Amino acid sequence: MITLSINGTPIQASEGMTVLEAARQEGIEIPTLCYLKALGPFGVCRLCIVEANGPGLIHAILPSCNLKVFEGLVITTDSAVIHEIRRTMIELLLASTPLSESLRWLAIKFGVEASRFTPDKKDPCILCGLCVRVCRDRIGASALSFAGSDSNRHVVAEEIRIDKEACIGCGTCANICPVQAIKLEDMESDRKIVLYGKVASRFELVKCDICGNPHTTQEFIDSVVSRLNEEQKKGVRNLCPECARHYYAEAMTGHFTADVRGNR
Amino acid sequence: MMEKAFSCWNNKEIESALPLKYGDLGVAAVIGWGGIQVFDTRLDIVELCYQYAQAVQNNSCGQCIPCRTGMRVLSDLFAKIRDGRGEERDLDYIKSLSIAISKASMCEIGQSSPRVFLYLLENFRDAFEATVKGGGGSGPEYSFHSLLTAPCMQACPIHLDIPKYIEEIKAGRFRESLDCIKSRLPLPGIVGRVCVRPCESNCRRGLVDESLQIRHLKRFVADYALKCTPNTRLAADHAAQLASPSSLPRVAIIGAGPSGLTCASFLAKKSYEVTIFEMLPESGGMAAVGIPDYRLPRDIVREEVAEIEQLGVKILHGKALGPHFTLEDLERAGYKAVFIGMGCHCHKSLDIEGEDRGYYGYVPGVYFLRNINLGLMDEVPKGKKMVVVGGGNVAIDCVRTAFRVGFDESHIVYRRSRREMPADSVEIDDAEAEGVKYHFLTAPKRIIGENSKVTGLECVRMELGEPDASGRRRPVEVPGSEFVIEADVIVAAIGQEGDFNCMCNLPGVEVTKKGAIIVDENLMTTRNGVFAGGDCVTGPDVLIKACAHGRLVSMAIDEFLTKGKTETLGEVLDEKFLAGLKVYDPAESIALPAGPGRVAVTHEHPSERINDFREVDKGYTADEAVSEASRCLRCYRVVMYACPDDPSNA
Repeated sequence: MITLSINGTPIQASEGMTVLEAARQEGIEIPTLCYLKALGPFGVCRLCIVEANGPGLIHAILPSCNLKVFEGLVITTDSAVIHEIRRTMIELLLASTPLSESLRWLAIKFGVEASRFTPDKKDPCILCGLCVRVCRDRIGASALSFAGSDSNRHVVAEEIRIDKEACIGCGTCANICPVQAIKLEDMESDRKIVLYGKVASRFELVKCDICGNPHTTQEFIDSVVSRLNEEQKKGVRNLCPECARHYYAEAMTGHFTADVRGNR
Repeated sequence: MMEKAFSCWNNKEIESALPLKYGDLGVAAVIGWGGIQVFDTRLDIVELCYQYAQAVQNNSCGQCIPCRTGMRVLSDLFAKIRDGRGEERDLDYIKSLSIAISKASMCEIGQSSPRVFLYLLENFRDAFEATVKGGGGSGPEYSFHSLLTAPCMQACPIHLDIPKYIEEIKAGRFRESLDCIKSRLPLPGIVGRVCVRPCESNCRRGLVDESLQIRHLKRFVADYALKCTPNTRLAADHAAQLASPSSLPRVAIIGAGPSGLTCASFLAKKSYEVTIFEMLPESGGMAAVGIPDYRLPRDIVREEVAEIEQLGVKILHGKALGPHFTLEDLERAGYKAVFIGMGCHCHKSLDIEGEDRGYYGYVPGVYFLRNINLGLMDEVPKGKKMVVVGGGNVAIDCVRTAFRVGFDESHIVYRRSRREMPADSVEIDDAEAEGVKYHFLTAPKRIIGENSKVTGLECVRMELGEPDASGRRRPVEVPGSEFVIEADVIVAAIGQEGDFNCMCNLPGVEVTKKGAIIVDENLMTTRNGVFAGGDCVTGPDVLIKACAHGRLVSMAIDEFLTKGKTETLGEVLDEKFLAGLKVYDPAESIALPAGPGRVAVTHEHPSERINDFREVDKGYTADEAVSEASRCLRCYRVVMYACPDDPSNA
């Protein structure tokens, strides 16, 4: 175990942990927009900066999401300097990206009433990369990517792009997006993935074998089935989440709830 | 407008600093990562800040929020003030933005660039306030130019965009990474194995823990592409290019070494008809015949040469300038420009007793390596014990090769200590692991022979005295400490300097006293249309330097043939200008915790590898390369200089 101090309190953390993880474990809140435990650190939103002191570090300002804990580390998560920088970044986000619930919440939390800045050019989203990473690292479709600029080779990230061929229409990106820049619009058996207000890809939804409601795309089912072995494949049923719950509950308990049986 | 000229660079305020120059042009002001230097007080400081903020924004990768949106807002604010629409509070906004961007950005572009604004607001706030109140003054017009560099990029002779190609590796885009390298260097597999890597000794990560293994990362993407893209597909890529015969002038290149191949590749891509004349039966120059296969497998050299040939470059072997043809012959054959890229295959003699006796078993290192590399084993002296004299990379190559061609014992004699050895420290360790015996602080005195055959080397112990011109302590003989090392073969590898006797006497091409070809800044010799680069200009030097020359000459030849121009190339001027600004500061302290250090590269086990010429370094796997690339601090730096539009105004 490693002993470090966060906001004056000594804390135990295991080796390999990040300062953000150690802080959250202790219930100390550090704001983030681009971090999710399942996807690991990315380090682009910079909201999770903390002040670090300790061996070799004097008033260093570092992102806590990829700062590994070490013995003797002294962390301040909300010093005056950190607070001021965070407020400036929240103002930048408010001024240059579309307003969203998570941004509004951050602004209230840090006492930002309005942005001082009025940039001419705005970003289509905050470019946190959660959608890109979840699609690549968890779903395995790699349908989303950062697009650079055609006119400037230095720009690595200008917007998010969808590769229609690779998209399986699962909708995870829409679920994970902190600013609702990607949305899922289901109408009857028609699914639209809407990116920056434009329809980016379209799918026909498959109907549940029990209730007949459209629930997911064939491409998504294929992608899941492709990861199963032959034994597991035998257990695959085409069911919507609601019916699946009842179906497998019956398989375990031998009791079928009335309405599901009725639909059959 | 400022009251007086001032200069603050790399945290040093300099009173009455000498005005900087870009080429012959006087510079009015410089602003960049290191600070600001103003030499012409009529320059509008707000305009300078605006231009710089714009340049930084253009170079931002757009990934992190402070740099992407912050720099955008910052340059808007400067524009507002410059145009007379500014308010007092805008200066406070600039301050809080500059703090946020410099403290919270992900890489050095954001961290290093806005610091100068904080310095200016601190020390020259009145100049900004004056502009806010009264608008900008109307002085002479200036033009602004920005340059992007990084410590590693500036140290690299060919200025590869290292942070960029490492970033591509980090993102798993290996092909794009290779494309980035190839846009400046056509021999990534060769350079990725044998480069002396000046980049790594200028890597800022080295100030935190250990520098990145930049060379191994380069090698990884080169090998990756080779594995994924068989030569046949490359051929298809260039089929279209080959089908259309070139209408551009013919260019002759002498020597298929690193500089010649690089030059040929870039000229061929510009559709020139290029022919290389090579004296040896093998292409690659010193890369092929000067470096043993266990460090640089021949397949790699052949693959990269083949790729250049697929661009339409013709390589004629067994053709030496002098014995087989002259510059006039080339002119008559219709070549409009010539590049002399000959290597330095000469050697320095030991200057000791017994050297000129013609003993069997005494051989210069470059010949020893060349004969083995060309498979001329009859020319290689046989025996069981070898002694190599010298401490450079050639000496290490010879002494390690010894085991691989059947020697049982292999010694190295070096007159200084291990610390002063110019050879790569990794190589020194590898040789030791293979069983090479080191004799440090030992100098050769006499070659002992019997029946016209070498039998031993008489040596003398040395001790280190006062530092000499190179800064290394001069070795001094210890009287009476002579001893003999038995040997069947003695190899002299103390350098390739000395007379360039191997250089031909070329009419119209002037050479220095030592025989190096004299060239101008664009590497043109004293004979019009004849260019030279690599070892025949610099003396024995590193491979990447030769490649850099080859690339430069390809641009110079293009300019020469299209415009007949002899003006100094912009890149040459950029390089000189940046060199004066000290891009790498070894004394810098970086506020980052040390990480686990570099990702180690797997080596073949010494006992396995010493019996044959298989490659010793196994290179990175994809996962290893990505995690090594993630250690990069991305130390891009932007600098801008302003010059008066009307130079007479300076």
